Amino acid sequence: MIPISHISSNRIEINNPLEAIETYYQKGWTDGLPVVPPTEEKVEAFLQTVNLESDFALGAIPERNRVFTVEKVAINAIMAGCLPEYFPVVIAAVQAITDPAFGLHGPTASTAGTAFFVVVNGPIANKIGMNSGQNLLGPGNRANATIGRALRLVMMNIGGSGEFDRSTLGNPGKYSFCIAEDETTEWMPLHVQRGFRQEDSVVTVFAAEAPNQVHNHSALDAERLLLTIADRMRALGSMNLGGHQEYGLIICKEHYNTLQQQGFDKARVQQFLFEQARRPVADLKRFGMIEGEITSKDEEKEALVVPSPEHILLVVGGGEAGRFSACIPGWYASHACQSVSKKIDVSPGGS
Amino acid sequence: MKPSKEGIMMSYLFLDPTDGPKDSGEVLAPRLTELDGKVLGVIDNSKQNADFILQYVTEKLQSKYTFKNIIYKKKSSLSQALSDEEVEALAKECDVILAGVGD
Repeated sequence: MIPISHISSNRIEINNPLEAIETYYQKGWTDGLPVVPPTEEKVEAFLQTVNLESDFALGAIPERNRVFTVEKVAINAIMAGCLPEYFPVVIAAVQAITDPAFGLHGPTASTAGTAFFVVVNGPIANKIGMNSGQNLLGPGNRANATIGRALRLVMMNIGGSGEFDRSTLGNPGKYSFCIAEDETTEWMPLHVQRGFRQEDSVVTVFAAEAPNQVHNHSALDAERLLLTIADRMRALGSMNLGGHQEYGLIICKEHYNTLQQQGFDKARVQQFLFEQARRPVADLKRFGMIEGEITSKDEEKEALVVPSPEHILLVVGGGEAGRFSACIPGWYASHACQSVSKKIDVSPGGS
Repeated sequence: MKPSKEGIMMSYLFLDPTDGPKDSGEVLAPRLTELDGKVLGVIDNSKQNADFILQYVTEKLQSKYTFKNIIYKKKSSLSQALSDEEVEALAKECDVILAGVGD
């Protein structure tokens, strides 16, 4: 007797997987790249890695009446190229973006075209072979590439991106923008800074602009190095100059070495950048970001990039060689959209 | 893979990755046939210039109709919905709601 499947999605009969790839293109179910055709057997393998029923609702976008079930998320993760052992990370990431604090509708509808910047911390990152090193934001690592891609496919196929995503330009991170933090350093990993235990596996998602490299190959003084980064952070045209949003920052290993050797830990870096990444309100008026005549007070009054040191999401990563860090501005304001961290629940049957 | 009647594998079954909007079970309020004497609710999404646009539209409406009252509600965040309590209060007090996106 054939068991009754608990997978409720519609089946599409297709002659072979290559034809399926084309069919999925024609139906508008891809991000422009080929997808792995999802089968019931693969979904079952993914479900084995989490302690959740296939119809369990992980979260929703209430404004769009869209609900993310485990089954549909699994199908999209398969299409993205994920392996089953990545699935607990994808699940936690979907829980993060559907947390009310993330305000998912706003950043995914906005003309600003933000991406999901995903940071994975804890033991699972190594276990599933994530990259925290060389070419961190580039291609080549299956877990990094496909976990980030899964979120995008989830938004496109379940979240209603076709109707609601009004990005003017979008950004390349909308294909995938997922990293693991390098936790081999002396600095406190992001998830520990955010209250989790070192041994927890945690995913953090931040609605972000594209990463912007900042280099200083000459400064051997930590403060001058940080002033270079602060200068990039306070660039006009960034939504962060409203002073109400978080700011992502990837410190590369050489920059980390310089900072660490001169007594900077993460908290001190955050404090320094909080104090330096600001500019006179007069500048915002000078360039028409704020209307009105410039007054003498405007030269003294400061526009902040972040409202507190803790609003700087600071991670270490990238190759051993090179002095390139990355600035990652956020979207709008944290009362509308906050980064969210979720513990990754790894079931006994999973990773 | 789906077997043919002869037992030869002829095709595969793949899964649909999409899911549409869920039926919330909500129904539209009865449509009004006139606005005179009604209570107008105005929801400002808090984006820049939303107040100007909504004020302009409200004034246009007021030039044609006489409202019993106008209740103005500004969202605390453009990205977050009004709270259930706020929605219930508006539903209770207003006959018609004007909402729009400013930018």
